[in-house]
Amino acid sequence: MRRFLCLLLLVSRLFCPGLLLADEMPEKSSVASIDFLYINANAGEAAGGHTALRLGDAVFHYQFFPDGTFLLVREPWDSFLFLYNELHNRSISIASLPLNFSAAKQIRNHFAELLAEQEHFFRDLEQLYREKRFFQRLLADSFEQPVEALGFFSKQGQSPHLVGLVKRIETTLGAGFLQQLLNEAESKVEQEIVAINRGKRRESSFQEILALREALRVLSENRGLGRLACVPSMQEERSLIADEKVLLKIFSDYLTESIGKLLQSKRPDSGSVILLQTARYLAIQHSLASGRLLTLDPFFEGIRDVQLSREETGDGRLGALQETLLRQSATRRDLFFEEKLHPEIAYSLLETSRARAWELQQVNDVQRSVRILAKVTLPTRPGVVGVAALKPDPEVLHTNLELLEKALEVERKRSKELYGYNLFTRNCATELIRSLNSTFPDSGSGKAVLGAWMEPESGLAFIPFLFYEQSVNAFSLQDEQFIQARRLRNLEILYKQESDLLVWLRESNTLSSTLYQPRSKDTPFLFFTDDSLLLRPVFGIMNVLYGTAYSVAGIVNLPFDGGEHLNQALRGVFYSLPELTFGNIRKGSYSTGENSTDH
Amino acid sequence: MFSGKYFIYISLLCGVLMVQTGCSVSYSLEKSSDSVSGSLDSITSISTSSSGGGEEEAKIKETGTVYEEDVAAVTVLYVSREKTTDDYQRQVSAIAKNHGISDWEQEESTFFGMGKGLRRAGVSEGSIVNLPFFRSIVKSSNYSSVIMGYKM
Repeated sequence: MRRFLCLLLLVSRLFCPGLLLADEMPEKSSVASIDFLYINANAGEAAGGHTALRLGDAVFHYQFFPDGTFLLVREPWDSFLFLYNELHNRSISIASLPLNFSAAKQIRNHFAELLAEQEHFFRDLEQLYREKRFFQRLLADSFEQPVEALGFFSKQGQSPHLVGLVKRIETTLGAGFLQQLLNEAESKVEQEIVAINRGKRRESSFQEILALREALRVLSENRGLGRLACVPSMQEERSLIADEKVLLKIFSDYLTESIGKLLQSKRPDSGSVILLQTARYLAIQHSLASGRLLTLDPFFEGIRDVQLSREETGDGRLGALQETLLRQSATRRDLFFEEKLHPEIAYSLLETSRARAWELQQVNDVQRSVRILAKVTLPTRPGVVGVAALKPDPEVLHTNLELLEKALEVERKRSKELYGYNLFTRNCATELIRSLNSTFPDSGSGKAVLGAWMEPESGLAFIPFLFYEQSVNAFSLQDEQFIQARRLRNLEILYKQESDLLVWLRESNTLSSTLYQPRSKDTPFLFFTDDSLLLRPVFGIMNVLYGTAYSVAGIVNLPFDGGEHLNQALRGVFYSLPELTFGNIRKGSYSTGENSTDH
Repeated sequence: MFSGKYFIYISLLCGVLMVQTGCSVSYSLEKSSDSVSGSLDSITSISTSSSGGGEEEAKIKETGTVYEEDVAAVTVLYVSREKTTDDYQRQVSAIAKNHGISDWEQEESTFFGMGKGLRRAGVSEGSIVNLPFFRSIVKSSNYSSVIMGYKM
């Protein structure tokens, strides 16, 4: 019954969205506060709205992932704002809880620890999967083992550039140092093989020592880069100028030092890092030799790719995006050459942005597939090493696989318990307050710091906008701010510049609007209803009729598009239904190619 | 046009629609699929921070700061969960990789972060060397950075 009432309340809240208006953009956030965020609904991603906490310049929030996990995510505030407010056209309400500096820091640190714990859990889970794949390969009589970053090197070709590097290493660490290290690594690989053949589960340490051995072989054999190791130079990129060449040489020295230290390091995964740094060193030598900047190709096997439609490759948005990525790449190039404190971070950002720009440059009428580098990505292209001596008894392999499957089952269950989604008990609102509460040992100490205490199960806190309202009341939040959605913001500007009636007539519908271009993601609709409370049911009826007409066309198209149009149309009708009762979910959305400063 | 009964029906329908979709779906493109429907949108999402007014200049510094924060968090876990030295280093490697750092031993903020984490975990300055990983670096300059981070 309680849940039923909650649903009714949820719907009734749609009658009067945007009660928390205040016409100002947020000022630069103060570290000594935590800000509660409510992001209103839109079609597609979050029809129930969304909540988040802003701690300093980072936003922490829980998101549902397509694999069923529900995870804590941290994003920079400007990225979050751009994505949710600009592109997804959703209004954001913000209310602050002033705190002393140490309390705010304590909360932020705690959220970082929750992220670390989450990362640790999934890393361990991935390790089990990796181990399973390892044993499955052996069972299938495949003795080829992948080694991260080895794939950048040619198998035979020698590089004169590596001779100099090896000489410098041996000058510092002593002649014969590399050979001695290689002998040790060979011997350790053999020991690991013996252990695995006897049934030990040593996948992780075996892979690590194998990578070190391969790195030492690459250095000893002076192996050069493979033909396709680097992202080629783009026409739009300028040649290296004299100052840049000097700075590249400095970074090359940094890499030499890095390789030297890694050879002496006790970190277990040094092998693949030596391979990466060596490949980067060679990419820089090639850049210096050719006078054009080259960086390693960070795309990896299994990377997600998207297929652009003919429509997308034909319109101006692709060109705009290509320019954006080229500009980003050029900026990151400049920043890399200026960076003193974190040279490797700057270089990785440059590698990633060059690859993104290059990838999009390849798009044409024939080539419409684009690989997506979602975040800064270290180049890891694996190479394959044959280890024929790995021959464990198949029975032992089966036993290990059974053990692994049991362990995986346990971890999958734990994953569901710890990181699963539940509409009422584990959603973006409940987990946010639960995470905040877990900063403190008990409710008493939490109350002393926050001024109040909220339980995730209390009242209707599981509903995002009610969670926000309850937080505002419970914590006596201050400085409420409201960031209007992009279309509404631009609409206000138009109302100031032109006749109200003219603007209303033109901008109230998707056919003549100059502020919005229809997108399939938004589902078909005719009238905007987020800025017209009184006419909302009338517009809603029109939208339902429009969606229904679209459905008829969808049925006709069924044999040709596999039901895509029909699905869109039905979803459109569904999103229009709340409008009949003065509610609103759909607001339209944007993409980067559309200029936000037109008005 | 609608009777009260229909209003309730529609309201409930809308309610179901809303709660079905619940909270925000991730725009992350790291996993095999995502909620971003348009292909160009997928690419747009990844260029968000650069084209959305995010200051590129600040990006490197921000990454360094957040990395330090993450290393501190991992160090707290290392102390509280009594992880092995190898496991701790693998965890630091994973965090570093997320931020575009491969050789974290060359990055000073790694050791500042470790120092901060040790302090937060309640390790006294004198007993830092009792932890195996820190014992192994006690003679290096990195250990001074750990102590600096500890005192920050």
